[in-house]
Amino acid sequence: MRVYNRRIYNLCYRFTNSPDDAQDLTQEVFIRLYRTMGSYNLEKGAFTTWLTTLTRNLLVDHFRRSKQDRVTDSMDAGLRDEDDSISLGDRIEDPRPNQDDRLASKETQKMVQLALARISPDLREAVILRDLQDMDYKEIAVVLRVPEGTVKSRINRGRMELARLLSRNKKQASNE
Amino acid sequence: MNKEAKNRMECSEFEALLAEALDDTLTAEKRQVFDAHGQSCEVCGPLYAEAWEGLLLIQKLAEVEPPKNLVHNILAATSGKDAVATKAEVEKLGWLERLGRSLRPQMAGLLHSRFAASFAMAFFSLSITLTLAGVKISDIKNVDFHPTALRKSAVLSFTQVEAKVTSYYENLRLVYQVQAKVRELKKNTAPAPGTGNENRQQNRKSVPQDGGRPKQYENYSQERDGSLMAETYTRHEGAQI
Repeated sequence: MRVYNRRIYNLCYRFTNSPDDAQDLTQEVFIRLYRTMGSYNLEKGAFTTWLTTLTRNLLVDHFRRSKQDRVTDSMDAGLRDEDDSISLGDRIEDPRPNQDDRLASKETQKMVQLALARISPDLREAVILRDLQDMDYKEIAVVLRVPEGTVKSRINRGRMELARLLSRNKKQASNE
Repeated sequence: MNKEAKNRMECSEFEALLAEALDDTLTAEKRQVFDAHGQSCEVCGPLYAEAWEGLLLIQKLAEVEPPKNLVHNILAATSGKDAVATKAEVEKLGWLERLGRSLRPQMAGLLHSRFAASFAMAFFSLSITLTLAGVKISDIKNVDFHPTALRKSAVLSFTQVEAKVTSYYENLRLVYQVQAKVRELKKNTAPAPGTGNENRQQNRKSVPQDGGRPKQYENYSQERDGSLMAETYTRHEGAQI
């Protein structure tokens, strides 16, 4: 349990952006794991994949309960506005050095976490599983029950949305 | 626009290879074509830059330390929740059902009415027997069930029983010895053979008073020698005459 405790908590925290919710969900995951351990079949896949699927199902249930889709919708509207306001040339410029400097601070990490919480749940879970949980595309496809090509597409779109959102926040901060 | 081929690669193909390009798993040839398309296409170039930026951002997120009490809470939840649920269920059940649940499935059949009646009868019989024997159930609480104490108790009980048996047989032996001495004394104090006529006369006198009932049987337990029995037989014949 101690092996997967940290992994599950991080997955829940990155998805919900709430330490309390992450803690409750992690407990719920292990309670469900405790009850359904007998149904795990080694032939169906790795235990990590099975556990991540279980966690993801609980996260989806939690998301539906907490009605976060409204936040996502409003964020999408904001992104569309932002797309119009920033020129293509500005976005083509590589902002990596500045971002690297900022990420050293906790404040920047908070911003990234906030941006991650605001992107669409489908894209968010794909990005988290790939970039934070280090799962390969095949495993993610099993967890999300979608084709591998869809997984790659969602990951790309999620990364792009994250970058756009942070770029917009950066611009707002410089204006203030 | 996506259908338009640029540097031998279409935009859809570029997008499909975007993930592998960011993972740096493309072959050298494909990577060259991919980069060429990204530099020349106004749509795909920014896509790659944004995806690359997003990847760098999210990978910078440090791993979060879970709360220290999380493991404890999980253990409490997984080990205590079932206990609480079971307790609530058990409280709703009757005592017989609770007893049935506490028994193993193989033993649950013993709670059928016929077996239950037999057990009840056996229990009452045992309790009555124990009551008559003076055994109190409350005394069992004071018994020390430690192996050493049990062994001592068993040895003590055996010694007590052995002493009782020995004493009983010793007493019995003494009784036999006393009886033997009494017999011997009686034999020694019995009348000499010469005095038999006096007895005979006394017997003759007493016969009519008893209505002819033989008196010699009263002496059987005292003297069982053949001579006396022969005399008695002779006396009866005389009485009949």
